[in-house]
Amino acid sequence: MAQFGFFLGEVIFLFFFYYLTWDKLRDRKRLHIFLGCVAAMFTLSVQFVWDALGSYMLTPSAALPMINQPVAWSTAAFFNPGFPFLFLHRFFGNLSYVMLLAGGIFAVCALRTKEAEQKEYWSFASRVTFPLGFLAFFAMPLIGWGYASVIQQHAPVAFHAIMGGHVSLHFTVKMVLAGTMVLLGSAWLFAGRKHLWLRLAVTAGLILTLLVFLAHPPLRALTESPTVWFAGLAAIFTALLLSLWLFAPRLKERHEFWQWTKLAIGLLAFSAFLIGGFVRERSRSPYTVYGEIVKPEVEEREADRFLFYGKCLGCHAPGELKKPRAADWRERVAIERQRPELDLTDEQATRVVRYLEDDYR
Amino acid sequence: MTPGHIEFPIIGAKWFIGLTALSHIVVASLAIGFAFIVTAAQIVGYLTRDRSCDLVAKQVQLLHVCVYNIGTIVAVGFIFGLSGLFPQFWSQLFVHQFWTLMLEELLFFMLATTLSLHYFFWDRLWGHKKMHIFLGALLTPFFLLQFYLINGIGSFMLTPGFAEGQASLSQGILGWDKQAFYNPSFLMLTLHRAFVNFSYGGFMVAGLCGWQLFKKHPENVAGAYEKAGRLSFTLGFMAFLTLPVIGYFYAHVIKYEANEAFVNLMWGRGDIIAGGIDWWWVKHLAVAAIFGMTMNYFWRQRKEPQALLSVPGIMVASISLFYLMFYLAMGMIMTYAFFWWMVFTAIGGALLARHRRHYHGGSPRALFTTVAIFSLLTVVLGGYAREAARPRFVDRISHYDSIYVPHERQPYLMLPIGPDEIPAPPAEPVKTPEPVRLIRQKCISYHTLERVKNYRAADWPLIVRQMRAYGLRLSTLEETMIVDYLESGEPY
Repeated sequence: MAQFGFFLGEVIFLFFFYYLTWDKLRDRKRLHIFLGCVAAMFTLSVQFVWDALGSYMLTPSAALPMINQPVAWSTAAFFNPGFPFLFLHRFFGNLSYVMLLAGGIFAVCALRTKEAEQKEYWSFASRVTFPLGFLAFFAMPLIGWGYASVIQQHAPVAFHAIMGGHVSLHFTVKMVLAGTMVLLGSAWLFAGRKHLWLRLAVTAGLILTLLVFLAHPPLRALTESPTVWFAGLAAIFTALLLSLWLFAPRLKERHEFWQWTKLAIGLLAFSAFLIGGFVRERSRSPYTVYGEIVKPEVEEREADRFLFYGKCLGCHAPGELKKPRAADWRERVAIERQRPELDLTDEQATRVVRYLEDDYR
Repeated sequence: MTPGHIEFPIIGAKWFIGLTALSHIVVASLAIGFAFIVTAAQIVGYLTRDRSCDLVAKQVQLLHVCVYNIGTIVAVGFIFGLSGLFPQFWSQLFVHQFWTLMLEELLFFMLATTLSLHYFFWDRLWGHKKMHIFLGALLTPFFLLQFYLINGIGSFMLTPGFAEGQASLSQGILGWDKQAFYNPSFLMLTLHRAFVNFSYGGFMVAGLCGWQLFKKHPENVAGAYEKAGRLSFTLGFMAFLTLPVIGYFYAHVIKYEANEAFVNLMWGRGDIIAGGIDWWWVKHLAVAAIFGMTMNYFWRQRKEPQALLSVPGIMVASISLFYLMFYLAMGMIMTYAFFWWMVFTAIGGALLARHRRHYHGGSPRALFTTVAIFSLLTVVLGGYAREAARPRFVDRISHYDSIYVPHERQPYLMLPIGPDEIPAPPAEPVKTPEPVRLIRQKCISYHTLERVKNYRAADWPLIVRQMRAYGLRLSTLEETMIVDYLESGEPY
């Protein structure tokens, strides 16, 4: 119901009080801007409520009420552990991808417009929106790190699904898209010797990203040595920063290539945003609300996979299990069950074996 | 285990649903009328090469965009409310007519995009006027199709017809139940609402033009508003004239398919009465007032044959006679007090219109705005009366429980409770005794119940036999039941 009120407020302020009064309030610009801000606050409130519901589905801190116990409001459920992180992550994510995409579109508009005045206007719009979107992006690794930690703690199976499980491929694609976006965007922001503060801000953002990566344990696919991991990351980021400060400023900013590149960066950001949402929702499968409601069309294999992630991936990496050290999974699981910390019933053991036999042959 | 439900503060669940539904209907109906009027004005403007018509059409379309936005958001609130406050009923209705509602959603999307394109590209498509008019004209069939779908569900709630969800019960859950959709009152509701929307839209546009005429405008702009106001007013009135005829047949269907609702409407029972007021009567008073005002308008127009859309006096007189007969017929079914109230209100409306035109120097601006307000009132009260006529849900998990009993449900509809834990269905409402029902149904087909009550003769067998001789269809058993009951002196 609060959401309904926010929707109503959003429409009234955004359309009636802000858009339709644009010309009438030309001489009362402060008031007009204020009305726009109120509309933005309502929009943000809508996102606030949706994110509470969305994050509850992944990290429900309160159990779902029974059908005969409607509660209409639960503080514990609304302010669940994942909520602040999802809200902040989506807030900066929205800001970033919308600004980057808009900047890219404006850049192409500038390229295609023949009128000098219009060309100048589009260029100006692109120069404003694109850097803002790019700088907003640098909040994402830090918030994302916190969000991942919360998921690891409160929805461990979803965490395993992202980090090596069935949505890890999508997550990797997302990271590659984001990485490409950062490389190209940084190059543009250093091209043509832009403002010093802008270059410093990008440098700070890249260093922040490096710190997040350094806090991450080594990726097993690359190395298992922390030293190699630290040294490699430091070398890559140092090389990147040196290239940006020494070579990128020599590039011509107004070259046609950059305008199309900016559009490509905007599309990359949008794609990363889409895939990120998909990863979040798919990671809790087969649950609609993690640990509470299973989706109606659940398949046996999905339920087995959830069990397998929950019971096995706390100690084993999925890649490790792919090595056929034991030909007979039934025998292997029976050995594991002797470990006191593994609580596995006979029925669960059968399901885990069934999943392993099908997926780890 | 007692099923719990959410309480809505202050106004309660029922009124929240009522308020959001009626608010939605008010603006949604207006949107349908606006779409029709915009296209009509654009076509007239195109054919006569009169830019003022196009200007007014654009103004109306801007209002249309505004009300469409509000209507859509209110509909969201309505759906939120139904989902939380009446979860059992709403989820089952949604499953029952899933594909109908999905098609409805698609039409929402088509409407929103078409409306936005039509308004925001008005100037850019100036060189492609035919295409632009066509784009706007698409809105009316889209709207009609959309409310065609909603009417299938709305009329099902009043006259379920074949049986509640029997197709789904016997063949599994289909998401589509043809017999429930095409229920007995579907056609009448659809026709009635279609013409109500055109009428309401026409009167509201005329009212807005009238409102503009109160302001100072250049002569050509004021002329455009007056012309558009007269055009819309006449279109609205033409649609308004069809309503008594359609309404009569609609009432006829309700009489046989939802007798209790019919009785509630005609005799002012149940939720039709709120705060001690019979709101169905109030609606009809508003209609009579509109009728009186419009008659005065057209009667005056007949003296100006050169004026836009004037009609001959004989036509005005004929229409008045038709309405008089209509109210007479209604009075026979209800009470003659109804007849007199309507006649006096219509006369009062005509006098008010006469006064307002004189006061404003012959300009119809005040008349247009007054009729628009009354029109809005009739739409709100008509919607309320239709929904309130139905016996209300006694329990929040009621009404639909007769359809999906647990062991017949599809697995994904199952609730996580055992069959023995399902709350008992609500108690059946007290049924009207059969003789009373017979007296009400049979006697009011020919005269009011007042005549029966005022009759002082004690020889009921003879009177009832006389009635049969006059043509009353009655079996011997029914005759005996009626006579016995009347002789007992019990109330009916």
